[in-house]
Amino acid sequence: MYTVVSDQKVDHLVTQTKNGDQAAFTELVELFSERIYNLGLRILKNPDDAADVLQETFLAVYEKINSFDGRANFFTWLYRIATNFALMKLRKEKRIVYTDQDMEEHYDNPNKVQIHEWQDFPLRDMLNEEFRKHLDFAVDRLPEIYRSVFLLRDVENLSIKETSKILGITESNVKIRLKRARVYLREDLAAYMEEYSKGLET
Amino acid sequence: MKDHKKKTVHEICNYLGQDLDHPMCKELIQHLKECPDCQFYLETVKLTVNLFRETHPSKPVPEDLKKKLLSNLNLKK
Repeated sequence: MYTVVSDQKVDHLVTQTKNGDQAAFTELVELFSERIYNLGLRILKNPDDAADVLQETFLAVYEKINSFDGRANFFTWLYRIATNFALMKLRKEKRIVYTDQDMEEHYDNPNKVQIHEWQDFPLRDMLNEEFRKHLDFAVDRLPEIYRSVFLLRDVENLSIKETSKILGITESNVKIRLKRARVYLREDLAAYMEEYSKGLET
Repeated sequence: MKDHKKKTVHEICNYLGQDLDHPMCKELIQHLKECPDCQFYLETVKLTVNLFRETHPSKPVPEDLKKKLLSNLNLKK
């Protein structure tokens, strides 16, 4: 779990940092480093890249903190900077992903819904490295905006409003993309379980 | 899944863009209570999300990276 800190405390540290208090900025760095590092890891899946995101984010925050006017939440502002750095890095990679159209066509109204295979499944036994890699691969294939929405909402536990502000898309867009991403992952997992089940039978 | 459930699944899918535990649609919640298939579908979506979380726990920032970060920012602990 991440350290929980009140908005008032963060606001105070931001004000102090703007006044040149290095100890206050050190505290901000320490409070949010783990969240930013893990955001980088989840988007880029590489510790070196996550380390770059962490460093670039706080360097940018240090340089721009005087232009942060406090109308936005500091946490949202910080996450937006970190997410942008991570996504810029991600765009340099060549990945095969589904398109927005694929997502809309297949995951708005899934007709083939497999529901009966899951009841007796040894799910806890499946939480191994292979399973983790499979889920990683599935998330990798999501278009960038879907992946970002899923990671921010479902993994980082941010609200729809926060996710909307960080990614610069409307709340409706967050909801529709989250819906499709969740349905896609659920269907992908159902297919994986079917294969797994066949493997157990042979 | 039976054909008559497709419409409900569509509604569930709209629901899926929301907070999964948010009582957004009372009618749907009522339907879920009466319909094991739809309830199971929603549960498996929640399970998928939870499995991803469980297999991707947060990791601490490595100590050498913390030191490097503070050093690069000219900060002292």
